[in-house]
Amino acid sequence: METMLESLENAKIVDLTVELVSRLTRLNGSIEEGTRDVYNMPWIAEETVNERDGTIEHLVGTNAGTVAEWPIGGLSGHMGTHIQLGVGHNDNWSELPEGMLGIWDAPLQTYFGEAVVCMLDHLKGQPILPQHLGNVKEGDIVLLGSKWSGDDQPWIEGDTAFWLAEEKKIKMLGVGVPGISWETNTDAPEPNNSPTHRAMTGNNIPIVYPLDNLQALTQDRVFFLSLPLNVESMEGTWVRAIAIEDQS
Amino acid sequence: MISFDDYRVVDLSPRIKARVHRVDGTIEEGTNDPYGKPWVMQEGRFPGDNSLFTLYSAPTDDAVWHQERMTSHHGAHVQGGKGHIDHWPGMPEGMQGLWEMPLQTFVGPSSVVNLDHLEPMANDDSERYPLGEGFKMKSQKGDMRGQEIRPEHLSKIHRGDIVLMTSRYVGLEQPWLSEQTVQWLIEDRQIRMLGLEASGVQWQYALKVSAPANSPIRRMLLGANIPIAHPLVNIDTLSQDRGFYFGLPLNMPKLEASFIRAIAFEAPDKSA
Repeated sequence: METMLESLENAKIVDLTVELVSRLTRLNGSIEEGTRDVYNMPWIAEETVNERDGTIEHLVGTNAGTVAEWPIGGLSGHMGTHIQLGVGHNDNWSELPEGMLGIWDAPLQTYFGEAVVCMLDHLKGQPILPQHLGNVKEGDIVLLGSKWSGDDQPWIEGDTAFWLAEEKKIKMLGVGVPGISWETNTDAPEPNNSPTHRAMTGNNIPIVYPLDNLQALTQDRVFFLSLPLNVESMEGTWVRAIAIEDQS
Repeated sequence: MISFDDYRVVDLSPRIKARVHRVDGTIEEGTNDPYGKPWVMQEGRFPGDNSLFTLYSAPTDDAVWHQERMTSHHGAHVQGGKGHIDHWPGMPEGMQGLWEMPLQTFVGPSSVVNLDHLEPMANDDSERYPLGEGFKMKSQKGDMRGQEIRPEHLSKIHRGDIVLMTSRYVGLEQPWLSEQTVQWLIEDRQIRMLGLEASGVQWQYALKVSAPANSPIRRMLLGANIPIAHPLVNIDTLSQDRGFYFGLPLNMPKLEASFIRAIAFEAPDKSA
């Protein structure tokens, strides 16, 4: 570690963040199309001139009702790779515990540290059970991924989510999408809905997703970092999630 | 495995409290960033799972923000050259956007430069201060002004560092970055990134001068593909000359500046 303070030579930084190309309206009115994330969420921006110094800045989002494919106008904190906790997000659901935190309430140490990488390519279209996660240690950040998509993705069983949260007391859950179907029963009547959300946010464990590029990791354990913006009352925020592998 | 377990982590991003328009019609008041910009949000309900979300957007009749949209320059942010100032006359070819720079630009060993010892002075050099007040907006000999930051004040910066800079001074008493010193930072020290406290270092001047003489510090740094992160906080609380910095932009190609959460780690104090 002493050496890393002085050099990144032996550190391999792996970007785990989905690239989301802006749909950008230029000053001249031309529009450059962007991309969407796996949930069909865009990033929309428009150039404007800062009259103070003549720089160009981006206005984030668009005015409501002006872009047909994004009529709501504003962008939520859930565009692209993002992180979320319970307060302001799902604390309106019944039978969640007292003492839930907002993403801004949790200490900084929540958002970085040792992560276990669980690539579940062998679980095509199967439920993820505790026995598939034998390398998870108490207090880990857990990164789940697979090479599968659509109906072939392994999915997190509700009981497994509660096992991770309450028995393994994981620190954060990071999910590759596509790769993992991480939520079930989203439209079931409360309190039987969305068990992974309930298990994680109910235990103040942030969820970061959709992650990309997990297959580029070559080590079972990595340093992971995914810091929310420092905005109180923003229930989910965009992040740049990275892993660092030690190659010394 | 890489670990910062025994390290002290310092939050360098100012906390902003969002001003939130809730779905029930209530408004929660917020706070501003160090430059006075608010962060306004509108709450919505996602019918897919009955969860709530917040949009980075203000209603058209919001009392504190004059339009629906805010920029990517609210709160702590990092900016590069492409898309931001590459329309200015005299900028070099090959300027990069944030999205084109390697991640190592925003992560790594950092030097911490606290310039509290550069006390403002009232002498002949005062007229060189790049800002002023009064009718001519120029400083005069004998005015109380911040000192020029010179290379000899920055001797602890290593080649290739991310540099975090601060002082306790405000306004015209802030020490200032001159073109000569920035040239030295670029060519001699080859710094990777510059992070600046919200107040403490004067670097934004000559904003209205005709190009190519306008905003010289921004021009030089971004022209050399050295991004600038600001307004940061708590640099003054870093007690060691060296640390390890993280302040990564979002992965949004074409975004000329990006919100960041900037932090620094300090090694355990072995003398304690």
